[in-house]
Amino acid sequence: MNPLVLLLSLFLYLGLLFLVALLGEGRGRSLAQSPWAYTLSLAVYATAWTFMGSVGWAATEGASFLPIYLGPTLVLLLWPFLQERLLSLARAHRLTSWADFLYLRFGHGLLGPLAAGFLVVGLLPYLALQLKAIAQAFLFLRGEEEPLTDIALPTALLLALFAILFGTRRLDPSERHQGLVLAVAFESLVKLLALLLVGGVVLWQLGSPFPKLQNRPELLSLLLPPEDLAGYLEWASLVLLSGLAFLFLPRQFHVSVVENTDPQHLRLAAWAFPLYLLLINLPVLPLALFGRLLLPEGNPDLYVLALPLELGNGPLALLAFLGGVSAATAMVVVESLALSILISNHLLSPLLLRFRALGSLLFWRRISILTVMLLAYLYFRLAGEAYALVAMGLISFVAVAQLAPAGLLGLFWKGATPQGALAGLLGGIAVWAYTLFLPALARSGWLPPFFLEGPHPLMRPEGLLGVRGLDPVTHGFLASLTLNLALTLGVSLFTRRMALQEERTGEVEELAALLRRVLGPEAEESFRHQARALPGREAAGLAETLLAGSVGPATAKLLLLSVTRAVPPEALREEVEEAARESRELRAYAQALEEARRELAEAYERLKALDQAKDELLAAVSHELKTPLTAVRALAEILEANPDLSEEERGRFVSLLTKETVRLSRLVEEILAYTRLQAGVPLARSPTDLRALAVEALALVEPLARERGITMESHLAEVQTLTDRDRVLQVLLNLLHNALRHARSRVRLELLANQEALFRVSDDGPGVPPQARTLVFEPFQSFSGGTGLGLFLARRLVESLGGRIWLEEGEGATFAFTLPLEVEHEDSGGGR
Amino acid sequence: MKERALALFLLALFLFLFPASLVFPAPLGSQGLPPLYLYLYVSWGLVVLLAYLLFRRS
Repeated sequence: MNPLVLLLSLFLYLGLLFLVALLGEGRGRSLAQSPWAYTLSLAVYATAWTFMGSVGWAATEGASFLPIYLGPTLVLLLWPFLQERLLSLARAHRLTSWADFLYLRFGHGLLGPLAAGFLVVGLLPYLALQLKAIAQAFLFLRGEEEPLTDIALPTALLLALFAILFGTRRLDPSERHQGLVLAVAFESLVKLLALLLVGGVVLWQLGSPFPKLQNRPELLSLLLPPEDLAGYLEWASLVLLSGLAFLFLPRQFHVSVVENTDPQHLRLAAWAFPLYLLLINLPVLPLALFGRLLLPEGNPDLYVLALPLELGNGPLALLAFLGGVSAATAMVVVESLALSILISNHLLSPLLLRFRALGSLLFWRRISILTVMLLAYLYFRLAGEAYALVAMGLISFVAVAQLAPAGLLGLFWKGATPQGALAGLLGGIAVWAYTLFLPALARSGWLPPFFLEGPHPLMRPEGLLGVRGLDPVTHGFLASLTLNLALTLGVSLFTRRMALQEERTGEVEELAALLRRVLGPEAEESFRHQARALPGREAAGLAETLLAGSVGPATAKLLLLSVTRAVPPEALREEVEEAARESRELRAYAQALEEARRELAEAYERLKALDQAKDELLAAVSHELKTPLTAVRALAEILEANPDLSEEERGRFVSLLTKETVRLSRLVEEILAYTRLQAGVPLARSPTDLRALAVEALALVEPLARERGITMESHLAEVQTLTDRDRVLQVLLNLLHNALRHARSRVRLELLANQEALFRVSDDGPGVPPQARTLVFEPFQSFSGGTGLGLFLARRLVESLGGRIWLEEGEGATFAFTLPLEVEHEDSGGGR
Repeated sequence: MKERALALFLLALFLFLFPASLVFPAPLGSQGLPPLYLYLYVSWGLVVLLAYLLFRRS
């Protein structure tokens, strides 16, 4: 293809990008702030690596390119837990990166610069990868393979200019850049449509690739899932790695948090962005297979460009080139901007403050963008040809994932300490460098082969502790993250959380003057407006937040030192302690009051119930006593008034007298039993042979049964339990007396044992009338001349023993009750 | 909504990490298409659909 056409297309496309960005800062501002633009801007995740590298990966490794997109899908499903929380924190504290968060959360002066410096070093390969993709694509379409010429350099410089123009207009990086967002969203659309179009045309012209694989059986392995443990581990690790990278990449933080104008945009992004990733991956497999079938000698990373050329479709190849360029440029612009903010906030501004040159921070931020771009270009020229596109990207992903333990534990675990975060980060960085970064440089010939072999077989960088079979990225990722997490957790558990940072207070006038000097008159005016009604301490906090957004949290703290003073610690401590003490006392007082109120109410209810029960009992007892007493009195009067009664008559009256006094006596006994029960006499539990107890009860009622001509039957199992023997005997006697009173010819007692002991007393009498069944266990409810207390007492006694009593359905009357089966727990000898 | 989002995340995690070699031992299915890719893309589509139903504005 004509190089002039290519160059012209490239620069025209970049020019179009400038126009779109200008539109976003002008008339298209509302479009840039829409949820769709936000969602598409997240697709800055899909870089040249996606556009060209995925096809290369699928053509050589099979399906393992897909986990790189499944991880972000998973992470976005958790947005109500993760991104929403981050957004609220970022808004409150003007966070511009994860390094800001680490400094804010842990307050350790070393964490921010360490994270910033490491991210710059760790992401250089990733930026280099994008420049390499552009250079490779350009050379390929020109018809040259080697050496890579310098088309990457002018592109990098143009992109640096773009990032400077649309990302560093002002000092405050936490302000929104609508032009940048709209340009990135536009590029996301371009790369998606370009890849779908290339895939669609190839499929349209060549048909399905799958039937053609029958002639190339060696390609069928690309369609198989990972079969061994190492393959499965690689799959799962890539899902986790990509999820963490999506969360912690500086450019993703920038577009998803800093550029977010409304948290509700996440609702759309949570499904639309995974859909975008799904769509952009659809053509990857067909393109990879056709590449292997038609271009067996070609570079798999360039199949996206080579296949259209193979079909003789030059315009489609040009579109594919522009798609790759759009994927690379969006990433390069946003990543270099995000890295420049990291550099200026955490590395440069403390230095500039020391040299009293903070006024030139914006200039230095622009220089940072240029420097990052040139360093990436340098990396690409020096080490870029040693690795395939994908491997270079993955090294950067693993670097970014090192922020995860400190970041996530800092978000969700109060016990995470600065020492733990620092130890974890340092450990993770060391292992990342040893297992991935240094071997990559060694592969490029920049370092001796020693860095691939290690000092000992157990210390081999790509197989620590003698591990074999894992691919280097999976191995490096698992090793570095495991050590990082272990150190963060372990050191946090054994170190104390730092005391709250010293609070400062200051005068609004002095704070406003500081803001004017550093951020300009607009910031001063905004501060005066917000701080008008705030006390000195809160005004100082607001000024710190505003400064931190622009010059970084560490420098903001240093700047404030000159115009604020520490809140007197004693006064503060006394104030806090006094408030805490008052709060504790108030809570305890309220709890005690509530407790007393509840107890009083319960006692009142109990008293009321007892009073009512007492009245009812008195009425019932009076009534029950009156009947036999009246009979006794009448019989006694008859006997007194008629001394000449015949012996037979006198005997009959005396017999009646005896019967009534027996009834009176039983009534009094049951009332006494009832009052004992009400008084809550404690249980006297002892190991009891229930069978022997039942035999005893049968023996006691035997004379009465014989007198009435009733046959006693029994079926008694052997059962032992821990219970109150006398109470059980009383229940049995009550039920047996009740049965004998109603039986015609037969009373049966059964004792069974299953999970509990079951007694059943049945008779062949007329049974309980249906209308009386619900009342038989109520006090003084007699339906046959009894006292009306026997069954009531039986129920109360059984319940006090932990059992249940009921009336069964069927012929005659059958009462059953259960008792829990318990054994005596003897001292095992362990105690005294 | 947080509980449902977590449940959907767990479902997606299961689908994406399921050891596919247990059920898709052959590279091509009866339709001449690779079952592994069909499974992954259909699972992915299902997760997107459920996320749409869960997160869309009421």
